[in-house]
Amino acid sequence: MTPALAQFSDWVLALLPRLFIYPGGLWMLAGVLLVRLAVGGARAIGGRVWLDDLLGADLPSLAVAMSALALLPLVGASALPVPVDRWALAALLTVSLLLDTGVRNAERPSIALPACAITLAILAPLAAGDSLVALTGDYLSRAPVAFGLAVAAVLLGLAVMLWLGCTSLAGQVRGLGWLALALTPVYGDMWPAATVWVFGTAAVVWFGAGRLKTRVVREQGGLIGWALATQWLLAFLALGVSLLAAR
Amino acid sequence: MKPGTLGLVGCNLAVAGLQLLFFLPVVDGGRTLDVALWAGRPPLFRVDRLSLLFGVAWAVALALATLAAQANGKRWAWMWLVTLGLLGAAYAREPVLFYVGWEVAGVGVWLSAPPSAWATRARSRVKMAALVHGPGLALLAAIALGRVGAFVPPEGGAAQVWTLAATLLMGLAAGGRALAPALYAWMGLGAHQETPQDRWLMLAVFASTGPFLLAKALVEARWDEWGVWALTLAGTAMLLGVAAAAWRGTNSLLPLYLAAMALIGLGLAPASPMAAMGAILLVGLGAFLPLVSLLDGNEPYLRWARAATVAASVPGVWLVVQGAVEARYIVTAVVILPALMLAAYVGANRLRGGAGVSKAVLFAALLALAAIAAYPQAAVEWFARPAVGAMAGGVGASSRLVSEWGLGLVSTGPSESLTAALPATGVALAAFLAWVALYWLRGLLTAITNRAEKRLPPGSQ
Repeated sequence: MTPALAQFSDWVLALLPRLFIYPGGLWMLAGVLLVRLAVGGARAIGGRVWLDDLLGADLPSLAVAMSALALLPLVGASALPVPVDRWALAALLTVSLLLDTGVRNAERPSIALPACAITLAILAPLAAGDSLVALTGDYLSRAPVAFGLAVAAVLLGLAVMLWLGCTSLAGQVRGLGWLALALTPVYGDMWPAATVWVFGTAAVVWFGAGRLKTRVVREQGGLIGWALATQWLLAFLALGVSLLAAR
Repeated sequence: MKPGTLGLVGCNLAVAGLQLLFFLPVVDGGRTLDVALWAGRPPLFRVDRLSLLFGVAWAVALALATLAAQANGKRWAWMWLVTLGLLGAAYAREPVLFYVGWEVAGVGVWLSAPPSAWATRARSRVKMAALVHGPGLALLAAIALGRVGAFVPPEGGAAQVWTLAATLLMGLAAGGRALAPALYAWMGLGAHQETPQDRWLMLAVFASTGPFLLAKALVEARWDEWGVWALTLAGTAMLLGVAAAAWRGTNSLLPLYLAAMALIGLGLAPASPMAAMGAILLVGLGAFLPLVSLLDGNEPYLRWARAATVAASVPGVWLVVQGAVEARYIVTAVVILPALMLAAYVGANRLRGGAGVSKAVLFAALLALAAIAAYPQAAVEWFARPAVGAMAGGVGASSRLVSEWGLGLVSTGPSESLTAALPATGVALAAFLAWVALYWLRGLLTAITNRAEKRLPPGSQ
C-alpha cells in the first residue's frame, strides 16, 4: 500500500467518529438543541417540530455545514492525518449558505452581507501568523484585540442573520460552525473547554438576539443596517490589527 | 409476527452477535485465523477483518429482509439458505468454497421469491437466471483459469494474457453482482425490487457481494500491472454504469449503497490494502483511487520524459509533461469527485425538472470550489522547500495574505506528493458522507411518521 493510500484510509477512519459523534453528529445535535431552546423556548425542541424541520431541510446545505463542523480542530476529536485549514472550513460554511434553499432568493443578498463579514472575521486572524493555513499557537497572546474584534464581528453577524429570518436547521448548524471557528484560540488543551465556550456563547447570543428581535428590532427598522455596518467595521478592524500584529 | 419469522430474524441477529463475540478478538490488530476442517489439511476458511465485517453486515441485512418479507407473501423460510450461503462466502478461504457459498445464496433468492413473480414467464426466468448465475459462471471460469495456471504456469506474454483474462472474468463476476439492481430494472425485472425485502436482498446478495469478491480475491493474489489496469477499467466502467442508472432513476438508492460499500472498503485498508483497493475500484466514490493507479502506471514514463526534455532544454515540452504528471490531483479533486456527487445527488433525488438539475449542477460546482479551497495545504509543502522558502523569505506578512493563497492554488501542480490532494478529497468525502447519513435519517423518520399516522383512527388527525 502506498503511503498516500494509507493516509487516505487514516483520514476516513478518523472522519467517521468526527462526523457522527464529535464534533459532528451527537455534539452538533446537542448544540442545535441548545440554540433552538434559546431562540424558541421549549416549543422549539418538541419532537414534531424537529421532524418537520428535518423533513423540510435542505440536505446538501445541512450536510456541507455538518461536515464543516465535523472537521473543526477541536480538542478531543480524532486526529486527522492532514489537518484541514481554516480556508477550507470557512469555504464549506459559505458553500452551505449558498446551497440553502431555506433562504429565499429575494433575501439572499441581505443574508450574504453578514455571512461575508463573518467569513472575513474568521479569516482575519490568519494574517497575524507565519502561515495562512492555520492559526499560530500564541495568537491569543500576540493579538488579543484582533481576536476580540473578530469574535465580536461574528457574534453580531449571527444576531443580524437571526433578525433577517435565517432560522433554518442548516443555518443553526452553520452558526455553530462559525462560532466554533471564531473561538478556536481560547480552547487551549482542555477537552470540555470548546464545548463550554461554544455552547455557552451560542446560548447567550441566540437568546439575546431572539429577545431583542421581538422587542426592539421591529420598532426600529434601521437597527439591522447599523448592526451590519458595525459588523463589517469590526471585521475590517480585526484584519487590520492582525496585520499589524504580524511578525 | 409469525413465530417462524421471529425465529429466523432472531437466528440472523444471533449469528451476527456470535460472530462479533468470537471473531472480534481474533482479528484485533489485523490478525487472521485460518481454519482447517481437520489437522494436517489445507485451511478452507479464513477469519479476518474483511470477512467479519461482511459476515456481520449480511446477517443483519438478512434479518431485516426476513422481517420485511412476511408482509408481502414471500417464501421467507428459504432465507436461511441465503444466510448460510453468504456466511460460507464470507469466511471461505478456498475459492471454490467461496463460489459454492455465492451460488447457494443465489439459489436462496430464487426460492424465496414468490412463484408468481417469475415462474409464469419463461423469458423472465431466463433473464433472472442469467443475472443470478451468470456472474457465478464468470467467477468459476476465473477460478478455473487460476487453477490451470498454477499447474501449467504460462510464460512471457502468455502469462500476461492469462492474468488479464482471469482478472477480467473476476471483474465481470463482481460487476455483474454489484450492478444487479440496475440490471434488473434495465432488463424489465423491476418487479423484483419493489418491496423492502427485495431491496435488502439486493443489497446483501448482489450489490455488496461484488465488491466483496474482488476484495477477498485481492487479499490473496498479487496483481501485476496488467491486473491493476484491468481492474481500473472495470471500476471505471462500473462507475459509468452506476451514474447512468442513477440518471435514469432506475434505482435511486444504488449510489448510496455503493457509497456505503466504499466506506467499508476504505475502512479496511490497514488490514488488507488490496482489499480496500478492490472495493474502492468497484464503487463510485473510489474513482479517486482508480485514477491515481491509472496515472501511477504512466508515471515512470512521464518522469523519464520529463528528465529527457529537461536535459534537452525544451522548456515548453517540460511544462506539458510536468502538467500531465501532476494534473491527476486537480482532476481527481475538482472533476471526478464533484461529478460523482452530482450523479449520486441526481440519482437519489430523481430530479426531473430543469430547476432540480440546475440545483444539482450548482451543488457539484460549489463542492468543487470547496475542494479547491482545501488546497492551501499545498502551500505548506511549497514553502517547506528550501529554494522556495528563501524566495519567500523577503515577503512581508501583508503581501503574503495574497501571495501565499495564490501560491497555494498554483503550487498544487508542482507539489510532488499526494498529500496535497488529500484534504481536498477528504473534505469532499466528508460532505458526501454527511449528506448520505442525513438522507437516510430523513427517510427513516419519514417511514416512522407515515407508519404512526396510518395507525391513527380515521378522523383523529
